Amino acid sequence: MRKQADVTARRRKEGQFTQVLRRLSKNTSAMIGLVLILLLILIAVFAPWITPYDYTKMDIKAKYAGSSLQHLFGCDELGRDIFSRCIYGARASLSLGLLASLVSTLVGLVLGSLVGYFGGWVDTVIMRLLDILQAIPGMLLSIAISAALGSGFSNTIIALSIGGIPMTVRLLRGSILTVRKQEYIEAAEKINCSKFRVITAHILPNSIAPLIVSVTMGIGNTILQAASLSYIGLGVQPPTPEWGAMLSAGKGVVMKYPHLCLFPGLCIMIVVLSFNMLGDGLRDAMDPKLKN
Amino acid sequence: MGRYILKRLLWMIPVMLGIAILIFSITYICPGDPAASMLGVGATQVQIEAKREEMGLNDPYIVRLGNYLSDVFLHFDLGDSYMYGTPVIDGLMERMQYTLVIAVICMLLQIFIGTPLGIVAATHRNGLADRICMFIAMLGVSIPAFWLALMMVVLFSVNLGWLPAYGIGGLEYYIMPCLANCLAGVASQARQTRSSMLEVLRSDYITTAKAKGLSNRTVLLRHALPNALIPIITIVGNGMGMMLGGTVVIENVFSIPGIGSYMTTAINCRDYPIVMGGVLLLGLIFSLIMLLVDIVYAFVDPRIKAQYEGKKRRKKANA
Amino acid sequence: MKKIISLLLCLSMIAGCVCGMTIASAEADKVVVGITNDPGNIGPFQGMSAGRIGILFTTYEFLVTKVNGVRVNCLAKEITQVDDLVYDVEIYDYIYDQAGNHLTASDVVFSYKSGMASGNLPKLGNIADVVAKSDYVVEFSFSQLSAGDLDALLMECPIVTQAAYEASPDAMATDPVTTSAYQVVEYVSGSKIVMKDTGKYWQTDESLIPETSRHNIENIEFDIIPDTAQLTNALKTRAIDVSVWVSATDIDSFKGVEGFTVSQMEENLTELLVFNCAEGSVFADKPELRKAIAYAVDSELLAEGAYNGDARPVKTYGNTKYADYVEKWNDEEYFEYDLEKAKELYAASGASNLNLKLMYVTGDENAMMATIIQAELAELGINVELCGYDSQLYNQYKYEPDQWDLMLDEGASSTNLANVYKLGWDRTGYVHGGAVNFVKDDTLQSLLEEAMTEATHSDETMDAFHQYLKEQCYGIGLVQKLSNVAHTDTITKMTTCFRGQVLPGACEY
Repeated sequence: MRKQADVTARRRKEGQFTQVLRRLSKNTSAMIGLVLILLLILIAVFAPWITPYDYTKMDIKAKYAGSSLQHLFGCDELGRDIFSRCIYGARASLSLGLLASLVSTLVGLVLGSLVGYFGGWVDTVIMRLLDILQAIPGMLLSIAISAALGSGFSNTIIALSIGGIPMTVRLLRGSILTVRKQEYIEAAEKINCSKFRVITAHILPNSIAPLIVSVTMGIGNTILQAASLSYIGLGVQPPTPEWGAMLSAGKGVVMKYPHLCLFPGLCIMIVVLSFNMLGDGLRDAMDPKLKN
Repeated sequence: MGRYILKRLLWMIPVMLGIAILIFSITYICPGDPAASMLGVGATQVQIEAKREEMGLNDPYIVRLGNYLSDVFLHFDLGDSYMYGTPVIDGLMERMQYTLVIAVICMLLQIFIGTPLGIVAATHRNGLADRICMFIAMLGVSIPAFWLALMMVVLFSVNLGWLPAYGIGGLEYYIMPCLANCLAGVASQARQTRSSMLEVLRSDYITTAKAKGLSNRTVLLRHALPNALIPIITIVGNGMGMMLGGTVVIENVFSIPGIGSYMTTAINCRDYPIVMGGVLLLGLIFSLIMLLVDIVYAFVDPRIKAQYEGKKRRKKANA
Repeated sequence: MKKIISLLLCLSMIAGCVCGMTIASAEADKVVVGITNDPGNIGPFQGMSAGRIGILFTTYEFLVTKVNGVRVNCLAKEITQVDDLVYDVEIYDYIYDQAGNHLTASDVVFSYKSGMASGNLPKLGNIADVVAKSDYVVEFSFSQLSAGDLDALLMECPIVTQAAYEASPDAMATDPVTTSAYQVVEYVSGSKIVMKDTGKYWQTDESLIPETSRHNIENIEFDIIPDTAQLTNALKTRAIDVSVWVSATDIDSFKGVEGFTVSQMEENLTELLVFNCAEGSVFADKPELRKAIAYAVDSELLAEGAYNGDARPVKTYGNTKYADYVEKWNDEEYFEYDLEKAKELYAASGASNLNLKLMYVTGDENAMMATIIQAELAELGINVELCGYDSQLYNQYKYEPDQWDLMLDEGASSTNLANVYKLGWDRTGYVHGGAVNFVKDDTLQSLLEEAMTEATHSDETMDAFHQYLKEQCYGIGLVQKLSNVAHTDTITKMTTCFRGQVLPGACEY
């Protein structure tokens, strides 16, 4: 009896965050996802020490060479080692893909909570502004951003993340609308919880699941999108490798030399896969209904 | 509810105006020169400058914006394309028909394949069916559409000769484009459905319903699914809006003259009348779809309907 | 929800049926040409675009045309010089368009005036006036004429009859009535253009029909296929018979394959490298530095690496495709790759720790060239930042001196080599008053004017300009593309126009 009270007390002290982490650590597939992600990040950080070749080293004679012991993944259109480029490409692709997803999620989270919780004119104004934003084609928006703000890493992140914001807000708004009038929210309001606490402690945990799914599914797309930005001066310029750009460079010869597309494609797939596994676990861990 | 809809419809006027001003300003600050692309590579800078003057591109921002807004909102005229010299609205309508077919088919596939997949995955959580469904979904979002499209062409057109490799025509021309285009949508639909079904299946009222001895099927379709619908509706609405904007990759691969390739070509040539007209049209469609989504929310979830109407009552009380 | 879905279903069915009705039945006497861009508007007075060049000669006829680099009469019967800048053009008196309208001198005047008024045909800016002297004689007076300009002007403007043009509801945007043997029977915007030989071509004397106006096959279909991988598939499945746009790497898969032939064509495009010599720029007043880079870039490697060997190094700021190319340049040395020499020159220039911006239009081949150049200059210790832009941004930044130090440019002309020089180096063509690389070199300008003026255009003046440009090394030619064209055996002999496009009517079957 005493012991159990102790446990409950300790749990309360731990706070929500640690509880989520503890539950997450018990989820095998989430842990596999997390390990994969950490591994990818390590690969990106230590890329110069892992790559067997310089990623810019050209050998015109070996162009389009298939897989071999010297070149595990074969060579690209300029005879550069695809394995080295994939490893090195993790730097640009991961940082762009993850940061852009993070930014659009955070902004979406804030806007979505405001819109969903307060409703009324906040809802009307923000949602109509998003309607306007969403009507502008992404490509054009990116060109405008690069023209107005110039090139550079942070502007690339802005260009990549801005397109994802409306969808994030809409998803969150939709699910907040369903929980907004539930009894436990009203209860929390009645006992004079601050608005901030109501949103963060009661509403978000109950409505964030669709967001996690959509963000983890969207990471691959964001990485692919980064490639199209290099055409307008944003993003990564060659010869710095980046998975999306490698894919689009191999696009023209995909029939004849599929390995140019295959390996960067696989890299993107691994990222998407591991984030989905982690995201699934995270969603379960954050679900208040599964407490205890 | 009627009042809510009316209010939303009225709100579309400032939204359209906002879109027009924003898109005009973006085209104004975007580098690139419509005159240069009209004259082609053989023109000198002096000739290009003369053409700019003639096209009125050198007029001040506020004059051009005023002209454009009055053309669009007072005369309902989207203008003529720079490159083609033909009315923008005709071009948009002609392209829209193909995009509409693809978008509708893809949306139906997404709804009728993605949702069941998600439900099966949720009810067989961590079982074989779940793993298979989610593996397909994972493939769906990570395979680039162009790759899938080309592989299908190699198989069905080049090797088997069953389907036409490109072009437009009868329904057989739409099979591969739609399959390639809907995969990512089906995948995210399945994932989203699974996630929200899982959420709902853990709720107390489902436990209650089960305890009452209702059949599994009834519990699923009558009690669980309606409550899981909100995120699904959101992504269907969003997806529909996106697809009506056209999918450049698929349109390019299959030579379908849809709205996506039309807009992309226009952006690349800085054919601003088409770009602005297209954005306005798509903005209008998008706003309507989002309104529809919000209305559907209200039908699916009475609590949301009460929130829409609740505001009205509160206002009355204040007055 | 159900209602909405069923409504959408109905809509899709209706749309499907509407589309289904447009399937064309296969014809035997037909050739299908793959093009990558939609012309959008087939009307006569539109600007040149990637979609338009492919269909131009099949759709329209001009006063004259060009075959193997030489001017050949088409609608024109005779051209006589009246004065330095005045020419009389006599047209045949039995020209009828496909609607049966008799084409006379006044129609030629109408076409030229409309072309000038449209502002879309920049070359026509040289025309001071055009008047009908009699029923079949048109007098052109020009404000100035450079070498080759006359040919260019006479084949710049498509000729249509005023009656037909005015009868067209959409200014011939979709259904032009022309004097060509072929008339558009179906144009599905963004998808295909179908043309048919009406059998009523005005020129009945076979010997007078120039190559560009021939009509050896009854039906021609232009299919618009933007994706190059799909072009290859279309050719493989014989859905198209020919396309000049099939990528160089895919051409190999048609070599020696039964049912296909590969023909090699020369292109008039030259890849060029330009050094920014604006005041205060890295290259200003540093010919050694410019030359160091010119020697460090290996054109052979570019041809092999970026073009799969289907290109060859050039010997001037242009290529051999033009009639006024000077043969002796072939035996001269022209910045052949020499790393030692490059290093010496680099040391002599006194520059060190250079960071250069290399600007180019994004695209597979350009990106490869830029990457190779970047690696080659790294050997000199020069750090090159690659700035690939889409063609719009590129065309804007081209005129801004602080956007680039090195620029990969493309040179081409439908007239002659002097015109290629002019397009790059004629300072009167630029608002900023310098040449393509912003340099304000009076010697260069006067040598250019001598080379391009009709009266003084000769091997000597061309050579003088070429030698001076080479000596100053403001810009160099890199490679010229050789395009391999694969086609089905339906076509027994390929024919292309001077812009490198297929002339389906002139091919042999």
